[in-house]
Amino acid sequence: MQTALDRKFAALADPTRRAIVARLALGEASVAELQRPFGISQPAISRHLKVLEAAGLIEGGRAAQSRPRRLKIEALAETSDWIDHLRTLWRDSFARLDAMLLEEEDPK
Amino acid sequence: MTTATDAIFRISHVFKASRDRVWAAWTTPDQLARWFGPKGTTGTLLDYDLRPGGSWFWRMDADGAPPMYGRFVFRVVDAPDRLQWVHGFADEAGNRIRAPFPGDPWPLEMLTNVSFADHAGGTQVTLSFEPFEASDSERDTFIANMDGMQGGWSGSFQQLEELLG
Repeated sequence: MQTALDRKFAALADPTRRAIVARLALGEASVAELQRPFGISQPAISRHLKVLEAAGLIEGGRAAQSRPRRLKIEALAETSDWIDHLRTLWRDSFARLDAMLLEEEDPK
Repeated sequence: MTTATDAIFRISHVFKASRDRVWAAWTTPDQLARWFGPKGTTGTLLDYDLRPGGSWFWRMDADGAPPMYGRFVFRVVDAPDRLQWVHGFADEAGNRIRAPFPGDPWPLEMLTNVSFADHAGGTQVTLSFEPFEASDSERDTFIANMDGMQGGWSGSFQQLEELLG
């Protein structure tokens, strides 16, 4: 069973789609504008956009092919909790590893 | 708004020790248990098998909370340069489960990449994580492996059911 959240995470599991999201974070863009920096075909870009749209992470206007895609920031915020958790986990862990390595360097 | 850029998924840190020393801290069970884990928790390694396809099974204890388990399945082990694993929460028998706490959205599995490089100040470790979408065959393999391990874990499932209530 895939929940709405699973679809978001699955969409973000692909590096090209993360890059598209990062690009849209700077402002809306058309399919052609999105295609250029990635050097992949238009059908390929459209497939990625479809996945992002199905996951509710982006939205487009009405004007068919030329419609600009826009990031849905509130949808993305939902996934940011686990990112914060993981960053905190690793920062805390790294601080402990720093201490452990220093301890060995200066034996009591 | 930069939440989704890859920089958010990446952490880099310079440890003041040689690469071999830092590698050992990451890949020796008793050393790993001394530093890895969320603040305020104690970690215990229940098993550890450092090879691609092998895994690391972890229990986390915090005061006043039921223990939580995680399983990390290695995909790349390239000493002393690189580690890659798929990480997710587990039940006490080591089976993959959803995050065992309510509220926080969490992907079922995450892919973590760790690279180790020489640096003027010691060793630079760069870690990245991202949601992982396992292929069906990978998941089947994982489940088959877990089935084989269950005999070794005699823990009670009742506690887990209460936990998941």
